[in-house]
This record gives sequence, C-alpha cells and structure tokens, in this order.
Amino acid sequence: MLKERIMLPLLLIAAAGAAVFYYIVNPADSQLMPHCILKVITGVDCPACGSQRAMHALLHGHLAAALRYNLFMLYSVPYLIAVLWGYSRLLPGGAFMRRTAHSRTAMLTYIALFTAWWIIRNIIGI
Amino acid sequence: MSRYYYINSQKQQAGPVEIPELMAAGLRPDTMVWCEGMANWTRADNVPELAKELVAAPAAPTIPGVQPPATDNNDNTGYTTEDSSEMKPAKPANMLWLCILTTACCCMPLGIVSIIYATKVDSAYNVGNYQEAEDNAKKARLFAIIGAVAGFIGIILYTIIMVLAEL
Repeated sequence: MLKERIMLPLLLIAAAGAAVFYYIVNPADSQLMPHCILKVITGVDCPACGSQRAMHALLHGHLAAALRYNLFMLYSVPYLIAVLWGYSRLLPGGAFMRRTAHSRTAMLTYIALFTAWWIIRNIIGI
Repeated sequence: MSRYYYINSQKQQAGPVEIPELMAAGLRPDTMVWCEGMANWTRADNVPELAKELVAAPAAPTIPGVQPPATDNNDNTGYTTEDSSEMKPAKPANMLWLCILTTACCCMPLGIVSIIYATKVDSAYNVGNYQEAEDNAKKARLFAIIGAVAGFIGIILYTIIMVLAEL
C-alpha cells in the first residue's frame, strides 16, 4: 500500500506534466519531438502515429482535429487508464477493473482492435 | 509418551488420550491440545511430536460438522496474496500497463508479443498451472521491458540524429 501511496501521486504529477508539455509544444512544428521509428524507417503509419498531435489538439479543445489525428486513442487511452486503475488497492473500483480490464477477453480485444485499426488506417489513410 | 487433552469437534474438552488415539480422533493442525507440562493450550502443529505425526499422516479425515476454512476467491485476478487462499500462489504480475503504453507509443511488435504472453498467464493460472503461469508472466514482463526500452532508445537516437542534422 505504501508503494501505491507514492506511485499514485507520482503518476498524476507525470500525467499533469505531460499535459502541460503537450499543451505548450505543437508536435507538428518540431523535428526534435519524438518520432515514430517505424514510420521513419518504413513510411507506414503505426497505430499510435498522430497521438502527440492529437493530444496537443485535444488540450486546446479541438476534439474533431484530435480524432482525425488518431481515432484509436478514443479506445486506447481509456483502456490504459482502466488497466492502471486495476493495479490499485486503494481506489474504489480497483478490484472491478482487475476483473474486467485485466481479463483475458479485454487483452485479446485490445490486440484485435489494435491490429484491425493498424491495417485499416493504412488502407484508407486515416 | 504424553497423554493429551484436546478440543473435539463439538468444542468439548476430551482426553487424556495417547497420540495414536488422538490421531484416530481426526487431529488437525489447528486442533487445540494440552498435556501436562504445557503452560497453556496450543495448536497441535505447535507441539513438535504432534506436528511430526501430522506430517506423517497429512490426510487425516475431516472432523464431521467442522467446515474447513472457506476460501474466498471472488477476486481471482488479484496480484497479491492478500485475498487469495493459502494454497494458491499470487497471480504473477504481467506488466500489462507497460504493454499498453508501449503499443500506444510505438515499438508495438514487442508490446503485442508481451500481451499475448499475458493472456496465457491468465489461462494457465485459472486452471491451476502456476508454474506455466509464472513462465508466461516472465516472458510477458521481458518483452514489455525490451519493447519499452527499445522504443525509448530508438526515439532518443532519432532525436540526436535530427539535432546533429540541424547543426
């Protein structure tokens, strides 16, 4: 429990820090921002490509633009939060998230949607 | 050989009896016993000569009417021992969060491999194959970490190259 009392605030601080960073910096403007190695090498969009730009747009309230950059985040970000929540022994709903988000079904769904999204986005160019 | 008093299944004091009789009465590790020379009543498994007998005959019949402690396995995906029964080792951690994070930030082949192993942890654990669960969890953690580190190094390298190119 002690570990969680330390980890949880650290995680929230890191998330807040990232939010401030992506609010200020426009990833589309700078070559120095992290780039997708797969895209650099092969030119293929990976399932996560566009997330930084989407985050920047979202933090500025441009929801439609954010979804155009990366639609998959609509699912992957809440799922990541649910998974993290599932590790919690202190927060209410932690056990529920463990049963659901950490279940085999949820993991297989993630793999399936991830792969499907990856193929579809490269075919129709979204 | 000492003669023991014990608390029987009706929660009544019985004895004194010799050890063979005590065993025949269905002695369990948590049966309370006392014999002359002991300061107080104690669990049978705290008495060396009884503990020895219990190990020799582990399959003592259950005392009728006494239920074994219920095992509460509602939370069967728990990662710690706190709510799993004594016999069941804690489910090994799979680092699922790191897999989702790496797949959501590139270097996804390894992240996906890791999640596949993580799903195998569940299936093995649920049928009681704890060794296999642990092996799969190890692989899941390994690929999650390699994926995250490789992705991080790749991004750093690319950024360094871009910085050098701008100079």
